[in-house]
This record gives sequence, C-alpha cells and structure tokens, in this order.
Amino acid sequence: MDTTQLLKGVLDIAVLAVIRDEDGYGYDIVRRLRAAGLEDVGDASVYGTLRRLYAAGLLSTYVVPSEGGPHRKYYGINDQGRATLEADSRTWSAFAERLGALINPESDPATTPGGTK
Amino acid sequence: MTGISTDPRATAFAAEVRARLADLGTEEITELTEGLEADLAERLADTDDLGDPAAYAQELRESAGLPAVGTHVPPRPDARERWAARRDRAIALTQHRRVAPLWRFVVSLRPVWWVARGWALFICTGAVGVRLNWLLPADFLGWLLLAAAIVLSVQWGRGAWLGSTLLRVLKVIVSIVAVIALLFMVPTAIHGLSYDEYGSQGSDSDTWEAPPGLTMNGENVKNIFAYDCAGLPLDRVQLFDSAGTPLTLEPADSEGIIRRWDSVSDTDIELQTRTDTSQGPITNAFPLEVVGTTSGLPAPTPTPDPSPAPSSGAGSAAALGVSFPFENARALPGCALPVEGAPADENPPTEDTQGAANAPAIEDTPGTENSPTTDPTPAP
Repeated sequence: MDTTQLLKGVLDIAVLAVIRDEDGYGYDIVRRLRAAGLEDVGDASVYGTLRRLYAAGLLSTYVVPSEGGPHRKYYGINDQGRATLEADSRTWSAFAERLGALINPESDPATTPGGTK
Repeated sequence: MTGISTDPRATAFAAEVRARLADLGTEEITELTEGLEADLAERLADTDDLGDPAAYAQELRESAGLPAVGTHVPPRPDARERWAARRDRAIALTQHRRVAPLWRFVVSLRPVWWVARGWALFICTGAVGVRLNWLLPADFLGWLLLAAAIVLSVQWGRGAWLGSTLLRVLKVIVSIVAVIALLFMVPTAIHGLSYDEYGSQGSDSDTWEAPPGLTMNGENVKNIFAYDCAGLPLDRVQLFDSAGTPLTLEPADSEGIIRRWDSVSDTDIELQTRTDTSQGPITNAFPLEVVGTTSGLPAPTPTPDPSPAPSSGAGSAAALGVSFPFENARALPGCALPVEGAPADENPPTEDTQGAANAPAIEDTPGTENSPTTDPTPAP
C-alpha cells in the first residue's frame, strides 16, 4: 500500500506532534518524522504543511541567522496548535481504533459499532 | 557565502523552485521558501540528491494548500461559471410569475430595436458621406443606405447573415455602438420633432433663445412709432398689454436709458425714456429718443440730454425730435381726423390747442392716448 496517500491525511497531525516539545526548522522536522518511522515523507510536503499550519495560526515562526550560510526558519507550536493537535489526536485514535477493529474483527468485536469510551 | 550551506546545487535548485512558484506573488514565495537553501544543503549532505525541482515545487504547493500551476493560472472557468450563473439567475427572473408578462412584452419589441440599430448603423457609417436632414437621409442614395442598414440589422436580429465568427463579433460591436449612438440620437430626434412643430427648421435650436425684452419674430424691437388714423406721427404714446402692464422694450437703467442691441449694425442703441420724478423712468411712452449708439462694448456714454426733451409734440415727425421711419403713414378709411394737406389748414373746430397741444395733453392724463379730437395739428 502506498503510504504517501495515507501520509497526506495525517501529515498535519504528525508535524504538530514532532514539534510539540521542541521547535525545529524545516529539514530538522523532516528528519524527526523519518526518525519516527515516516520514511516516505517528502521534504516539500513537510515544508508546505508547515506553511499551511502557520497560515492557519497553529504555529509561530522565527528566523535564526547562521554565520557563513543562509538563515534557518524555525517553527514552534502555539496554544491553538496544541489544542488542534489534541483534538486531532483524539479523532485519529478513534478512527484508527475503528479501522483496526474492522480489519481484525475477532480482536474485539464489542467495540466495532461505535467505539467505547 | 561559504561552507556546506551554500552548496551551489542547493542555490540553483531553490531558484528553480521559486521560478515555478512565480505566479503566487513575492510574499507567498518568501513564506514558502524562506530557509529553503539551508534545508536543501542539509539534505544534500544526507542524500546527495534533490530530485526534480518541478515536482518539488508542485509538492510544496499541494501540501501548502495552494493551487497547482495548471489550475491556478486560468481562473477563467470561474469567471465564466460566475457569468453563467448570473445569466441563469437573470433568465430565471424573466420567468418569474410577475415578471414574465412584462418580459414577453419587451421581447415582442425586439424588432423596434432591430430597426433602431439599423438606423444607428446608418448614422454612424453613412453619415460620413451622405447628406443628412435631421438624422434622416436627404437624398435617394441616403435612403437606400438606410434601408440596407435596417435590412442587415433585422436579418441579424432574426439570426440570419451570421455565418462566420467575424460576423457575429461584428454584430456585437455594432450593437454596442448602436446603443451608445442611440443615447444621443433619440433625444436629438425628439428635440427636433418638437421644434419642428413650431414650424421652424430648427437648425440651431439648441442654442436659440429669445432675446430679452420686447421682440417681434425673435428680433429686438428697438423702438415703436405710432401714427394716428390720419397717418400723422404721434408722440408720447403710452402702450399697455391686455393685462394693463406697460409695454416696455426692456428695463431702463438708473438714468432712464434703455440699451437695445441692433443686430444689423452690431451696436447698442441708447434710448432715453421720459422720467417722472416721483415714479422713475416712464418706459412705455413711445417713441423713445435715440440719444446715442455704442458699437461693440456698450460703454455708457454720458447722455447729452438726460432730461426729457420737452418737445413741442407737433404732428411733424421732424419736429418731434425723433426720426420716424417715415413722415406720414397712410390714412385709414373712415378717419374723422383731418388728413394732412389742404383740408387741415388751421381748420379744426376746436382751437383750444395750438401747436404744442399734444405734449401737455398726454403728460397730464397718462393712459388716454386717444386724444384725437384735440389732435389735429397737421404740419405742412
């Protein structure tokens, strides 16, 4: 299965998650995602996502000059970003749970219809 | 600009990516690609490969939620769709229960528009070489051209003679021009019609306005001369209209001078009115005495004789101090007054007025200009 299609749907939440604890610049964030197991993530997809999340008001950004080279643009999560991450995490968890139950019906049939809380 | 972070490949790649985002505007490009060189250089250190800048730019756009190049550049479908939606709404409006009858009526008037468009087409194109008589052709050739233009317009209206795209474009252009031209032609035509009702040719009707004061056939009346029924000139005749309003050439100035413009000599004629010390100028007693003329600019020359001329008021035109147009008018039939010449030799029965009888009589009793019985003072 092509995971790039899957990634498109969850890249927002993934990006927010990897900068939840520490700000990062573009390629740094790409590295974190890959280190987390999302090997197929494309650089440009991450940068575009960062731009979109920033435009949506979920991130803050600042530029750090580097001596002897081009400066780096850092992204950090703000309160709104955290709230979004939290809500999206719940949505994703519920979704993943249902899908897991669908795929493996014998594992826990009771939770299949609507999920239990 | 040294070290790993300024790898020329990274710079070149970043430039390529930016070029492919050029349609987004400077600000958006900066937001998207700020720090891109540093990221690319670091990636080069990792993988030594950057891939295709076009695909990279496309991926950047997509993930940022920006339109792809292909769909972003032509926003025309949107505009066209919006236009179509507007047209659909308009059509729906015309089919509304209340509007539909009115709309059908308007549609039935379309042939009028076709003819009007032909007329406008003729005016706009044929007017160059065709003589016109008030927006209509003045000769046979002109009528022929007008007919041709109307036939063409009506055919277009019926959907005929539109074989090529060029003709359809031409029809649209002609229609637009015609609407604009009709905006000017219709008021002109209506104005011309209403003017013609007064029997005038209306050549310069736009600028024509009546000159001030008393006029006859649009011309200034510059003085009034009265003759009695025997044909003798009268002095100090007072005139009123049917409402009892004094007939005046126009208001006099503070010195009792009336200025009338004479179009023939292009001069201002200064006329002295008689002055009543208590009531100001008496402007309706004729004839007025010409005291001067000023050509061109009406520089008010000091009146040589501001006081009313105490003319003897004799029946002689010369004696009245005013140049009458002619010495004697024709005598009217049945006139009881003695005609000039033989029978008038000091023969009037009432001798109480000798010579200067006219003047005092009128001064004393204004409004009774018919003092014929005491008038017979003929001059040889």
